[in-house]
Amino acid sequence: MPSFSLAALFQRSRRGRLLQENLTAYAFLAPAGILIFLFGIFPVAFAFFVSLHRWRRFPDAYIGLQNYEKALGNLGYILFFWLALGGLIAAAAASRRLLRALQQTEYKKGALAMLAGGAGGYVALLAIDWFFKLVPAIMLIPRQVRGQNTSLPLFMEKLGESFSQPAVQAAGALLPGALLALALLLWLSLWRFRSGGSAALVSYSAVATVMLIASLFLLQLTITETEAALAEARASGEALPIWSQLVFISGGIALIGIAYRIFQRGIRALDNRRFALMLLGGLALAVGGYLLMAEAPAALAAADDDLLHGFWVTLMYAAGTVPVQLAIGLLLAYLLFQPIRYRGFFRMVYFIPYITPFVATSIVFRIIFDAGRSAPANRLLAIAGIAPQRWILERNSIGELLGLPDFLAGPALALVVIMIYSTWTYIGYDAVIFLAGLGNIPGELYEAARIDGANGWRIFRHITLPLLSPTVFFLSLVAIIGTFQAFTQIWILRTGAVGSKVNTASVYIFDELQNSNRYGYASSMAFVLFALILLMTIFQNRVLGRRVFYG
Amino acid sequence: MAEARTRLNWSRLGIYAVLVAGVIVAIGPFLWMISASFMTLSEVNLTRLLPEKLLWENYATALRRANFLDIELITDPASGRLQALSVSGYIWNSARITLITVSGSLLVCIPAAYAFARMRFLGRDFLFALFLSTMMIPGIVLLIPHLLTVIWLGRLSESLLGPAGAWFNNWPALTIPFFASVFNIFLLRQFFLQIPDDLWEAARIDGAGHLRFLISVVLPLSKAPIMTIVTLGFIGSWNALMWPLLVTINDEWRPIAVGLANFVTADTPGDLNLQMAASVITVIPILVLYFVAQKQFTEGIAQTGIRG
Amino acid sequence: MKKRLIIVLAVLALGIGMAAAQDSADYEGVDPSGQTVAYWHQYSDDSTQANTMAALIEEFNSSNEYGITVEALHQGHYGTIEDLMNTAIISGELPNLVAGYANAVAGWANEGVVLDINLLLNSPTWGIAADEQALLNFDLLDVNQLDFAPFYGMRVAWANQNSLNLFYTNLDIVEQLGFERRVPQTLAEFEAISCAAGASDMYQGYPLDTGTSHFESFVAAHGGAIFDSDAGEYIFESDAVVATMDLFTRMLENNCAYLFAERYQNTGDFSIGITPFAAGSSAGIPFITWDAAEAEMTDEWVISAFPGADDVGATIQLFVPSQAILTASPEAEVATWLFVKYLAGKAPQLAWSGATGYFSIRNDIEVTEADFTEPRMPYQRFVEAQGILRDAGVSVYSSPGLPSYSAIRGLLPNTIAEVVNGDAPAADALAELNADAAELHEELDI
Repeated sequence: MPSFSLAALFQRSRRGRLLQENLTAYAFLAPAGILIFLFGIFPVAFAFFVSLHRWRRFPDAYIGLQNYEKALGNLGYILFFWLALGGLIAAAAASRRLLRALQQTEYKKGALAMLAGGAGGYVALLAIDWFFKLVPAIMLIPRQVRGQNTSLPLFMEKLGESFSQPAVQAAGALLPGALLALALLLWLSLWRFRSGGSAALVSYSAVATVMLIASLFLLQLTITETEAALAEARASGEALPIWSQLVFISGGIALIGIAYRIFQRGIRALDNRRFALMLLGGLALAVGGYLLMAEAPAALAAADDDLLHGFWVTLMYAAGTVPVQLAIGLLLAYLLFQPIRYRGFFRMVYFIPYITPFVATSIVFRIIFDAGRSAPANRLLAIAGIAPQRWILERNSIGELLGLPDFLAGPALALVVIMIYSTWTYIGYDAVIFLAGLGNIPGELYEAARIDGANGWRIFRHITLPLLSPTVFFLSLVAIIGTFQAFTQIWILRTGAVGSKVNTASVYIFDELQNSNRYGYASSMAFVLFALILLMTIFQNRVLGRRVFYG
Repeated sequence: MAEARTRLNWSRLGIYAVLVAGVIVAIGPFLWMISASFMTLSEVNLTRLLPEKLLWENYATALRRANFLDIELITDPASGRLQALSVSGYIWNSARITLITVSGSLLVCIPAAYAFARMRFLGRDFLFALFLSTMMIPGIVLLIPHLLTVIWLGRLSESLLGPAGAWFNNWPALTIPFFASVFNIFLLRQFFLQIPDDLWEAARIDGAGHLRFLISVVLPLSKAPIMTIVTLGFIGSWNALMWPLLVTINDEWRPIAVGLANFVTADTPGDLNLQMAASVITVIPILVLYFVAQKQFTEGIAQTGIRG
Repeated sequence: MKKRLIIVLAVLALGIGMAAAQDSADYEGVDPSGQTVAYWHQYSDDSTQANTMAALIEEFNSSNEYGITVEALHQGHYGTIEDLMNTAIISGELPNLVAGYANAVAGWANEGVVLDINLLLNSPTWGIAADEQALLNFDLLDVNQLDFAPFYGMRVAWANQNSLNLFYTNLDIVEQLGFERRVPQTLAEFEAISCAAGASDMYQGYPLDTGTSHFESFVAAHGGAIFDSDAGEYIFESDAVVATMDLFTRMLENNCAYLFAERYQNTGDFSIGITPFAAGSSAGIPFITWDAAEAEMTDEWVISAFPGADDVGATIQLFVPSQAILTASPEAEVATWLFVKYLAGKAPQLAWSGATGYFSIRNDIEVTEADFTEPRMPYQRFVEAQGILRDAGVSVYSSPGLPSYSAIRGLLPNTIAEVVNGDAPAADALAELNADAAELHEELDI
């Protein structure tokens, strides 16, 4: 009997400690969390909201997915289908985990936790819905109080007006009750009838609910919008093969994915089976590739050419800067890591380009790469006996200048100048971080290798590089995300004569924002860019992340 | 043995040659910027390497025209004693903005990083992943929502606190959005993770809570990473251009990068030599800080052992 | 649900707009005493313009009977001001008076933040009396009166100066190249001389600007325009535009012209005597003069209207940099207007033109050299430029005052660059530009 009460006491105090730890942690996180919500998460949701509207400086009509259609043609709709599908898959995955966790928990307590989580997800979505009904009106308040002295009563009056709009009230009617019920459920499941897996159950079930409802909403939105687009096309007598494109393109991608998996298995399999698998994989690859090649361009036919061109420029820009920058940075770091004198001096100097403002250094680069004969870059060429180039004014691609065939055209020379500038800026940063990575490699490994008679290159290849792979991975991730977001470098080295030839997606989006004031359209394109960056990061994590050696 | 040494020397020489070439490339443009800042206009236009004669007055002219720094001593007319000091100009603005941003960022990021590194709570991994994912958002997406958010919050706080509470065209709009830097949180968390658990156990036996442990044990150990984020924060806010341009409407808080950009792209033909002088002035404070902090800065990067 | 929300918003917005309109209809009983007027301008710090404006403002501040204070603020060049206005319109943190060309102001007027100056111009209490109005040059001022939908005669801005896009000729170089020592009379002559300069060892051809204003000057020289105000549409596929593109392409291909990167590099190259011609604003005259003096360039150079195509005479493009009064309280609006009215007075106009070399908006000011006050300024040239503007034989072109024109200014340079570099056939590129322009016109103007 006494042992039982002791256990209960322990339980309670452990629980008390847990609660205290949780509350302290939330208090520690609160400032950062609030700010990140305000300036990191809410803006994304808001930008998505903007992208569904015709929106110049102020909100105009709701136009569904039209901005996305304008940006990507039919692929815009298809992307939203995939997004909805991805959400459903994520919901299914969460549900599977939920079920697995449920099996390990006491039935009644588990059901309670699941209910609480589901309610949490539902309430969260309810709150979001209410919030976005409220936001447009709130956002107009500064406009309404313009020219009048701002005072608390006036502001509160306007705020009250926004809250009492019928649409907002209707959306918020259920919210207080739902919040109360949620609080009760959470208390019951996480406190009163707590069991080991309760917390996990609550979170899985919340995620599953949010994902399910959100992706159903997305799906409904996409279907409505697609139907509307189809109806419009039918009215004007055109054919709009969105459905067939959806099926074929998705099929193509699925087949390529299957082929990839088959090849992966085939490598491990026995000979005969391996051959059959390879054949199957090859077939899947061919059909999938054919479907993609046939349908993807058609789906993109109505897309915004300038945006597609922007993505192409972005790709070239990334391909031209990231590897060069990493390779030189690694070389410098490796040399600096040798026992040499003045290491501190070199390290310091290499970092200087990174810390100098773009506005200042770009002036110098504009002078170095000026089109005139007396420009430093052209003087260097003259020493080598090469004709002067127009550098930052040159629209022609380096391929054209070298007389290569069209498919080897590559970036415009002006873009190359920008790449040089960008590389120059970041090499020092990379070198310093590589140097830090090199310092983390234990010296005994080198000793051992040297005793085994390995020479410099082999040590580098078999010890340094593998052990440095986390740093390489980190830097390449940062660099690729950076180049996809790159804006300032291009913006300030861009000349009128080169125009859109150097417009990366970011620059084009900013042009649309600032020059044409198309906020809604710019937001939708920015979202597409975001999706691309996210996809690439995931891909990089999956494919390259596996090869990273964590020692 | 002798042969080995000569070979070694040759490779040494090669290493130094590459490193020195790197130095020339890295700071060549910068050195020319300094050189050009002392030239006459026609010397700059001819891209001379060195000026014939050092024109120090370029700096005086640039300082005055670009409105970088204006210090007024207000003296009592009767006794001639110094009464007050009035400082204005872009350098002063940037200094204030940088100070607020960096200290705010430390105050916000350190506890958050600590919580992620050393505490167990519901939704920790989810929140951390959510925070990290915001790093991938292209800045373009955020520009307009940020602007609207700042305007709205500013109106709210203005209504509550009066004109001093304004965000727009005031320090809050220029600093508060940068307090919660995910990168800083990430960097600090990596460092905090490496602090041995024994220290925490010992502190707990002494009856210390998390806050006391953070202040009296963790922070003194974390000079290097803190110096790293101070330096990076300084660089970031000293060089910030786009956002300050959007949220300031006069020179009361406008930072130096905007001032420099306005000076360089003025509506009348500008003088390159003066632009160079202005650029050099802009860069000097950063260089000074970097020279002072660079040892701990690099150490900080090394110690946090960024590992993807 | 969404639709209903939009309707609510629209009604709200309309209500605000109507409230503002009602406010501004009646200014008679308004007292502007003690108002502060925030004025955003583009005059670089420490320039003649900025210093003269500061002196005028100081005089206004100390002499006006209502105790109105004007606070001027340099906000960078026109592009920066447009960017700032974009956010200021959203935030509501607007100045009272802001510099801008008609097209930019029209875009702001679309958002309901610009005051119709006619309301104050013709007000019995605050306006300018009819006999005084007769002394103003309304040919110039009416560039800011927008007679098309949705403005319907609204006067969106007020100018207190104007300038020209001029054609500069270095007579010594022209003669050196074996041509008659005169300003080219036709575009063909201009092209021939430029080609000779490009082929010579000593000189470069014509510094070709890919900017919109420069392009329009040459379209005007071909007897055309980029916007047909009768039809209400952009005409980038018209003969004059195509001919201008052809001229540019040909000149670059044959090394008769060259592109440049830095702003004002064209007039800079002209001022050091390496190109026979340049095009640039009359506001740039002093800079060319000073740069030429510093480079010890002693060639004789002259200013003129642009040479025209064979059947077109000399043409000139008029720039009318203006200021818009932004909506605020009636008191602030009146105070701002009083400052604008002050600047239009005879003494300030004379002081302004006398110091800066900009032309006056008054008919009763004929600036002579005796009026000029700044010793460093090359006034003789300004008197000449004024003569060109008043020459009846020169036809005057000005850019369309449409909100869409601001956006098109951002698109045209790329099309020019694309065509002159041979990346796309002129017909295709111009057709695409025309389609984009039509879209922007529909989206922004109507």
